[in-house]
Parts: sequence; C-alpha cells; structure tokens
Amino acid sequence: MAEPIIVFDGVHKSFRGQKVLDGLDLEIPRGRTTVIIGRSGGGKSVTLKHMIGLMRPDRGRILVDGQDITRLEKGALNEVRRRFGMLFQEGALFDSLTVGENVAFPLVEHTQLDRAEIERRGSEMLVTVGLPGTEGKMPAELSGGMRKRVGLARALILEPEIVLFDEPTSGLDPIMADAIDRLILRTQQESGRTYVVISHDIRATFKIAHKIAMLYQGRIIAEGTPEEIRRNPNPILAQFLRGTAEGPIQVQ
Amino acid sequence: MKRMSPEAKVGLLVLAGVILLTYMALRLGRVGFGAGGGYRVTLRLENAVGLAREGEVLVAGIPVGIVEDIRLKGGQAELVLRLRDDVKLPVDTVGSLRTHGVLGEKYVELVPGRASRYLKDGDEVSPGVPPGDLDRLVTSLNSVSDDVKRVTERLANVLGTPEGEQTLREMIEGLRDTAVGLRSVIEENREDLRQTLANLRGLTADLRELVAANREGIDETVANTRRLTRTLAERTPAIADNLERLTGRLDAVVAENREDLRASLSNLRRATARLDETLASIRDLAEAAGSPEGTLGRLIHDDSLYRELEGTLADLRSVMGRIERGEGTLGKLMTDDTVYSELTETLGNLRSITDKIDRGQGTIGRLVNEDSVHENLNQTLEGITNFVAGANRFRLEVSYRGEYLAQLGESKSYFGLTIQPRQDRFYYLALVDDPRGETRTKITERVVTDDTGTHTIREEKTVTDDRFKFSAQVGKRFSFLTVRGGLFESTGGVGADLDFWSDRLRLTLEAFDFAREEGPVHLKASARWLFWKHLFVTAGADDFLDDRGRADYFVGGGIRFVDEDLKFLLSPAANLAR
Amino acid sequence: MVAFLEWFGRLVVERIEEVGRNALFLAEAVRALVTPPLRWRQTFRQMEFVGVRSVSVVVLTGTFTGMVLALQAYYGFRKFGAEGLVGTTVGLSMARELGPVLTSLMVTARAGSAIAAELGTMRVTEQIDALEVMAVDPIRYLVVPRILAGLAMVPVLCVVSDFVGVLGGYFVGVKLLGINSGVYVANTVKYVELADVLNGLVKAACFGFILAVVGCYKGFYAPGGAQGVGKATTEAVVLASVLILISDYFLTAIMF
Repeated sequence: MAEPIIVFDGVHKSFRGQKVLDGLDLEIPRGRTTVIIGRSGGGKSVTLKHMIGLMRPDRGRILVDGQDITRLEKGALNEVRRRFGMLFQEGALFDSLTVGENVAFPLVEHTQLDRAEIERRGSEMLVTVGLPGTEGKMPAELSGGMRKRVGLARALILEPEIVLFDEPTSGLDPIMADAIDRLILRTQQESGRTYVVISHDIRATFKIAHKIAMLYQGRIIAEGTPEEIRRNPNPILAQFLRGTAEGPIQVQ
Repeated sequence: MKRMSPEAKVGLLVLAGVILLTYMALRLGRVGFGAGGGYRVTLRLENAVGLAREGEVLVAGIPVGIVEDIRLKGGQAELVLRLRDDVKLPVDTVGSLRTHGVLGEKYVELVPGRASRYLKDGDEVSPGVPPGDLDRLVTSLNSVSDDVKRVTERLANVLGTPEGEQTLREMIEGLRDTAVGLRSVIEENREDLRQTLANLRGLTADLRELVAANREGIDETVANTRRLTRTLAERTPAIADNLERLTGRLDAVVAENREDLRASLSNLRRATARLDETLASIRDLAEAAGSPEGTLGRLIHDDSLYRELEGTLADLRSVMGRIERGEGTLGKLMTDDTVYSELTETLGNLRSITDKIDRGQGTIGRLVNEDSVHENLNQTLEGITNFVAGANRFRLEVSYRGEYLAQLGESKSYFGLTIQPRQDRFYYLALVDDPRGETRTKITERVVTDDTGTHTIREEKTVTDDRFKFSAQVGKRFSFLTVRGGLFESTGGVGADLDFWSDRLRLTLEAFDFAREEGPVHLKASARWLFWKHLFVTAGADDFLDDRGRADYFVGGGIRFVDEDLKFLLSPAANLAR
Repeated sequence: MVAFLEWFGRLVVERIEEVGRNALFLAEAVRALVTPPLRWRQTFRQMEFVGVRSVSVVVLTGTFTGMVLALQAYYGFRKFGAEGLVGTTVGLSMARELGPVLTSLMVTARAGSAIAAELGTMRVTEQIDALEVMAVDPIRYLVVPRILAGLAMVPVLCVVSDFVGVLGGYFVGVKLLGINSGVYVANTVKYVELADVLNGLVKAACFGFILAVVGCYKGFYAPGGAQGVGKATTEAVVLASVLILISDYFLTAIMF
C-alpha cells in the first residue's frame, strides 16, 4: 500500500476537561475508502474536524501529505483545505442560496470560470448525484436525502483529492441510505479519490470500506480490512458489530 | 424588471435619506445672503448687552437682515446691520434693542419713519425708544406710589394717632420685658452675629452696586422719555394727529394686554405688600430689640424723639400729597414737560422716604447698644428689598440636599439659596438640619455688683445646641476652581469646589469648625454628580479626621432649581417684559 | 473545597476566555472591514435587509415618537405660555437623541435579532464550518457585510426617523393642538442646528456598528441546538440594547 495521505500522531483533545481524543494514532490510506466506526459522541466527528483544521488538537500532530496542519496559518491552511471536500451530517447547505448556487459555490469562490461554464458543471454534478433539474429549488424544499446528495455534489465539484463524510446515512430510511452508499461507492471507484467516512451503520460500512477503524474512548482499538475486522476477536469490537447492549461496552 | 435587486432598493433608500438630509441642511443651515449681498447701515446704541453677531434685525417683526458686526465706538456700541436689498427703509428710521419672548433672545428692531428718502449703504440709523416702554414705566411708577402711599398711611395710623401712641407705649412696655433676656442672648451669640453680619455686609455692598446701576437706568429712561416728548413738542402741527394715533394704539395695547397688565399690577401690588410686611417686621424687630435700663424713660420723656417722629410723618404726608397730585398724569405725560420733573421729584421723594424711614429706624435702633448691629440689619433689609425688585439681574439657585450618614444612620438636610450677582461670584445661604446638633462649651462672664463689691461671675457649661445650623458663604470662581469662605454650619470655614464636565461633576473639600475644643478641624470631602438639570446625587466622607467616632461617610441626593422659571416667578415685572 | 476551587477557577478562566474571544472577534472583524476584498453582493443584500426592510417600522416609531413628544411638550410649555417652543423641543429631541436611539433600538429588535438567529442557525447546522472547509473566510463572507450594513443604513434610517418625527410633531402641534404653523416651523428651524442632526447621525452609525457586531458575535458563537439559537438571539438583543444606551451616554458627553 502507498504512503498514507493523512496521519494522526498521538492526538489529544478535550472539551471542558472531558477527554475526547486520547492519544489517537491513525493512518488514512491514499485512494481508498476508510470508514471510522464508533459510538455516537465517541469522537468520530471530532476526528474528522481535526483532519480539515476546523479544530486544533491540544497535543499531537496531524500530517496531510507529510505537512503538519496543526501549526498552519489561516492562508496556508486554506490552501490545504482546497484539496478537501466535505459532506456534513445535515448537508450544511446555505439556506439563502438555491441548490444550483450551493453546488456552484466553490467554483464561484475559487475558480475564474465564466458563468455558463459554472452552471454547466453544476448541472452535470447534480446529474451525477441523481438530482437533475433541481438547480432552482431552495434547500428548505428538499428532503434529508436529497440535501445530502446536493451536499455531496458541492463537496465533489472542485474534484478534491480527499472527501470527508460525516455520517452520510444517518437519519435516512434504509432505501435512501442504500442509495447514498451506492453513490459513495460509485464515485469513489470512478475517481479513485481518498474517502474518509465516519459511520455507525455496520451494514453500510462493510459495503463501502477498504479499511475500517474502530474508535473507542479516544483511541483506535482495531483497524484493518473488512475481512480482518470480521475476524478480530476484540470483545468490544465484537459487541459493536453485533449491535447488542450486553458486553464490555456499558450503556450509561 | 419583475423584482427589484437589493442594490436598487438600497440605492433608493440611501437616495431618499440624502434628499431628506439635504432638505434639513437647507432648512436648518443659516441660509441668508450670498457673500456681500444686501446693504449695510450702522446703528449706535448706549448698550448692546446680550446681542450676538448674526442676530436678527426685524422690521414689524419680519426678519430683514442680520447684525454683521458689533464694535465699541466712542463708549457706545456701534452695530453694523446688513439688510436685504429689497427692503427699503426711510432715512428717519429708528432702531433699538429688543428681547424675544420670555426666553429672551436679543434682536434689533427697526421702526420705519415717514421720510420720503430711503436709507442707503453706509447710512446711520438713529437709536429710538421702542413704544411701550414708556407706558410700562409710568404704569409701574403709579402703582408703586399708590402702594407707598398706603404703606405710609398705615404707618401714620400706627404712630401718629392716640391709638398709635397707645400702641407705642405698649410696644415699649413689651420691649422692656424682653430687653434683659435679649441682651444676654445677644451677648452669648455676639461672635456668630458679628460674623454673619460681616458676611452680610459684603453681600449688601454688592447689592448696593446693583441698585446704583438700576437708578442710572431709570434716570436714563426718564431722560430718553424727555427727549422723545421734546421731539413731539417740536412737531406741533403733527402732534394732534400723532396723539390721536398714539392714544388709539395705547388703547389697543391696553386692551390686548389687559390680562397681562392686570397680572403684572397684582404682582406689583404683591411686591409692595411684601414691602409692607418688611416694614411690619422692622416694627417687630424694634419690639424685640433689647435696651439698657432707663431707655423706657428716655423714650417717653425725650421730646426730640417725638419731634423726629412727627417730623418724619409730616414729611411723609407732604410727600404723599405730592405723589397724589402727581398721580393720573398719564394723559398729561404726552404733552407736558413738567410731568417729567415731577416724576424725577417723585423718585427723589421716594428716596427721601426711604432715608427717613431708615433714620426713624435708627432711632429705635439706638435702643440697642450695638449700633453696628443695627446698621448692618438696615443694610441687609434694604439689600433684600432691592434684591426682590432686581431679581432679574441675578442668577438664583434654590437647592435642597439630603445626606444619609451611614454610621450615624440618620440624615442631614441642607436647604440653600445661592445668589449669583456676577458670573464669577456668589453668596450661599443655607439652613442645615444636623441630626447630631452641635456640642460645645459656653463660657459666660457676668459682672455683678452687690453690697460686698463687684464680682465677676464666670459660668461654664456644655451645651448641645438644637439641630438647626446655618451657613452663609461668599464664593469666587476661577475657571473650574471655586473657593468659598464664611459660615459653614454656624462655624467659620473655607471650602473649595472643582467643577468638571460643564459643572456636572463637582468635587468639594470643606474645612470648618477650626475652634473645636476637642478634636481636629472638621473636614468634609464629597463628590456631586448632576445627572439632570435639576437632580443630583452625592457621596463623600464627613469629619474624617475625627477620632471620636464622628467620622462618617454619606450618600445622598438633592434637587436644585436655577432656571429661568424661578426668576420668572420671582420677578414681578416679568409679565410686562413681553 | 477542592471541587469548589476547581469550579470557581474554571468559571474565571471561562470568563476570561469569553472576553478574549470578544476582543479577537472584534479585532478580526475590524481588520476584515478595512482590508479588501469586500463582498459587495453580500453587503448589498444585508443593506437591503437591515435598511430597506426596517423603513416601515422606523417610520412608524419615528412618527409616533414625534407626535407624543409634541403632546407632552405642549402640556408642559402651555404652563409658561411657550407653546411655540414645542417644535423646537420635538426637533432637538428627535435629532439629538430619540432619532438615533429609537431607530437603532428598533433595528436591533428587527435586524439585530435576525442577524443573531441567522448566524446562529448557520453555526448550528454547520454552514459556518462548511464555509471554512470551502476555504471561505466566514468573517469576510458573513460578518463584514452585516457590520457595513449596520454602519451605513442606521444613519440613513435615522434621517428618515428624524424627518417623520418632526412631521408627526408638526401634525399634532399644528393640526391637533392648534399651535400656529409658522411659529412652529420657525422655532424648529431656528433652534435646531445642522450640527445637532449630524451628531445624531454619528451616534446612529456607532449604534449600527454595535448592533451588527453584537448580533454577529452572539450568532457566530451560538451554542448547539435550536435552543442555543434562541438564547443567542435574546442575548444579542439585550446586550446590543444595553450597549447602545450606555454608549449613547458617553457619545453624548463627548460630542455635545
């Protein structure tokens, strides 16, 4: 396997005295889909936000292509961010803009393309995510799944090297969840980009992942290919995969 | 365009704002002439007090120009008036200084004459007496003499008749009873009294200056009036015509202002009633004054006193006769020069009346051994009377202030009156209600003669005075620093005030009661914050050098009135001054 | 005891952090305000929102304030026979004090709260994060246009308020109470100076800045959840109103 694109090196982070990341070490392989699984509120989103510099660790390094992003100035950090795309949990579409404007937003901000070209690419991307002809709608008129797909279109439009997904299927019905999973799988296979997905949806995880990492109490307790994970005897992992309340993980 | 863009909407709003602002700027800015427009005439006045550059020039109440310049020329004020080109004024136009309404902004009024030639650039306008002022003077004087007559008549009733004699006798008997007690009171308080009177003497000196200035003003007015009638007399052919018009106007004025006149007259009458009261209090004072033994006999048997009193009354009566004859001269006033000499005489007589009353008072006053005490009292009373009449010129401040002493748990109140005859000078009088009172040792020495010889008896006692104290201070202001001296809560002291932020914040340090038997000098430091024109809060430390537990800190607040309203209420002539 | 100290210490640290965050936010906003590039489209959008859409409420409050001022002043001045000064009172009060203050309070209530709610929602739904992820500076994109809008539009609204206030006063004074119209206008024009109006506008600009900055700050750092947005909105209105009134005193003390 090639050199990892993102490396977490002993990352600590706590909020109001509560430890969320406790010496996290993690490698994200280039050109693959990595799924980080773990309990809700277990630090998955925090991990994701660290990758893109929305949060800075209390301690530890985060390397993107060998560059430590925890010490970057705003300008340099924005340079790094241009290599990323991110799909937020609720889509995080701008309420005041139409679907078309939302999708085209990164192009307007970061390219010198003319208006027609921007519109063309926007429409194309909407076709890719299965929402042709919705450019004129407002985000409020869309269902949760549609919003996520528009968010994905927006995340992909600048053709970033790395795409981050924050719980792409949570809150969706199983059919829509499956559609999103297929979309992720398809776009990854077509482009060969690095995808990082956080999820607690076990079924989806095994469907899309090249690598799975289990985050528990601020650390990675198990990682590997889906096959390796299935065979891993770690009781915590086993309980999580089984999805039962009995086991070493105590429900508070 | 089916929907306006945000840019267009914002643009419209900003445009509307700019248009409104421009409109306001045009209305509010002093739009007058372009540079150098109009023509200039000059006007010389004896006095241009209160007039500012850019002040208005009105003809028949309509603005026709501005006061371009005010300068001193040969001891007079020379005004340069810039008038609009389209306003043509005859060469015999006269100008005078007038006051707008109750709030008193000064302006120049021009009254056009009847000449056929018109004023041109560089001409001089002669000063004139505005109509109405004359009526005002005469009306006031008549009413004053009426009241003076009533007062003196009453005086005559009291003193000149058998009943009066009876009253006098009773009065003197009463005097004798109170004499002894009063003497000791005076002796006990001699120091305080002397200090008070010294302060009051300073006060009256100032007041007297003002009175002098006022007299000149009246003389001037009379002189002006005389000049006016002379001009009238010179124009005999036109005079009948003029008179008719004048009386017509007078009628109109009286009819228009009847209510105001009535109000003013009742005010005047009230003012003189106050004079009446003053005289009554003089009598009371005499009643209360102490005298050494044997004064009773002297008073009754000494012919010279009676003669003096009788002479005074005779003088008064003759004066009143003259005033009576001088009355009702309003009609004559327009034609006859002699009225003016009579008026002057009346004024002279009035003065002599006061002099004589003063002298008569002096006689009674001699009952008290302390001449200076009495003189001072006289001057004070005169000062107060004059003050009431001349309130217009003063800045007055009436204030109430309460301070809650935190340690003591009680409140101290000040009721004060500040009289400010000049910008940088003031007098402060206050009654202080101090919950602690004043504790001090009193030493009384008395010489007693009995059959064993002459003894000096020395009495010593500790007294806690009643709560009431008074303050009387003279202050002078230098920029933001004010220094004060005089009586502080019935003891001598000095104080300093620092004023900041247009006098809204005042820091004060006072030192008084230097002669306290025990303990150091009484120091009081405070800050006062005037958060509204009339209301203030205060806090500070009182007597903080004291180590006998009287040191205290306080918070408090108060109310004060300094504005025009107060003056307006106090000044009887204010209604007429419209 | 240790728990208490810990709690207290954390409280102090949090307060200090809050102050620091305030200052940083303000500094960053001001820096972005005075350095290019400026987002014209966003700015105009916000100007339309803050300015144009507040016109009706400002006209309404301005008119009635002028009317009630005239009514009250008339009641007082009638005792001194100085009814003619009602116009002066209304004009001076509107220009110097009530125009700027009432306008900015109304804009605070209408637009300041909306700013806090909008940014709060954007924060909670991760839209602000999305901007950052897309390498767009949210301060420049969201905050600066709103501050500019407040700075520029509140004075414009204040002019409108002054004007309709005087009109309202005129209506009550002249049409209802029967003060001579010439006297009323003359006294207004004579004693109200242009400097009064202009100083009022300076105040209004300051208030506009305050209400926009407070609205943005409270929204920008809104805590999670719909409740957090509501709380941020309320706090923004209260804080902005209080700051406006306090700064009003100091501005008045400095300028007049």
